[in-house]
Amino acid sequence: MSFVNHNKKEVNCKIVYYGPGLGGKTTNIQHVYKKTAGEAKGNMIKLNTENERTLFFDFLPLELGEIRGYKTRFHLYTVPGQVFYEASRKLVLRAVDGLVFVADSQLEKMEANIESLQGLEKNLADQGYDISKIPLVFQWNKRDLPNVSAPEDLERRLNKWGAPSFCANAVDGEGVFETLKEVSKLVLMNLKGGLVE
Amino acid sequence: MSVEKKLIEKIKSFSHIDLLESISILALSVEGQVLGHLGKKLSHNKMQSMGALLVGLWQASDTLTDLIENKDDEDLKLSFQSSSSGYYLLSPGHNNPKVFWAFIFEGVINPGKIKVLSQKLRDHMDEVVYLSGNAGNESVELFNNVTDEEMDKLFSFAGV
Repeated sequence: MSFVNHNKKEVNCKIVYYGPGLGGKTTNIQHVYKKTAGEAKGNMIKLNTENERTLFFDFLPLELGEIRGYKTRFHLYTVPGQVFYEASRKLVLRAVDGLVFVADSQLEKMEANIESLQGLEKNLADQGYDISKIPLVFQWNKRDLPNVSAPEDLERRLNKWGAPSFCANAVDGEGVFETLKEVSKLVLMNLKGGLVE
Repeated sequence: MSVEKKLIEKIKSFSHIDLLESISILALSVEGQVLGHLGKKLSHNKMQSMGALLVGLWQASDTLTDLIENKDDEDLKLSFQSSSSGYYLLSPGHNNPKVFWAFIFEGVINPGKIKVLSQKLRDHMDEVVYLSGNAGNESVELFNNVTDEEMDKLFSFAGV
């Protein structure tokens, strides 16, 4: 849940990157880390297995600047993608303000995308969230690979909410900031806690 | 008055205030955000990292203990320590059910003393009514609308 501090004039929001294993969630926030100036980012934390797979979460705090006098802080998290880390994924989703679903565009990964999305819906519902009420952006990642589904197919099979979506090649940074910018906008517009004049 | 100022005012009346010379205390939201910091200085980056990790750790441990029969929810605590360094993370007090208290210490002679006093300090600080810093109305949007220009400005560093 976002935290608005009117005294300090700052907002803190949590954005979670969700999706199937090896889909590019960590690559997304690694690119953000790499391209963000020193003073705007905190330390990136990776809780990994020995072979670089996310074990619990990755975490990157970002301070993007001010909007209408409020300092904006975004905490970016990824979940572990591998199927057997369901309990960890559920924990990372607690108090989420915005979601990026990073889908793997490869044809053979469609079922893994669907399964992961169904897991997301269930994990949110188990904690009392309605996915249709949370800012959500889809990213069709790995567009550089040869055997990919058409974006229209991915839209039809995965994006039943008509949420914004972006094609990406996170390894080269394509689409990474476009995705983050869109979900950040949706999160900021969804923030509650305004002052009554 | 900000949360941090309230904490500073309140802690002055704690009978073992010398404790603060050797430890850092973080007040953390259930989301892992640092609400306030007392005692030994920590860098901003270090505090943010600690906040996310400590609360993540708490959530994982809490879920784990749910798997243990006869779990007693009263005053759970989490600790990790050597003979001179480590941390304690205490469950929220009654007045502030959404605030975790973390006590981080390095190079101290008697960590046991910190363990005993940390709970007393948590209870002492819990008397501060926590206003969450959010005096806003939960049914009112903070920004109403956000323009593309405003977003362009926020992300100008990335060239998108």
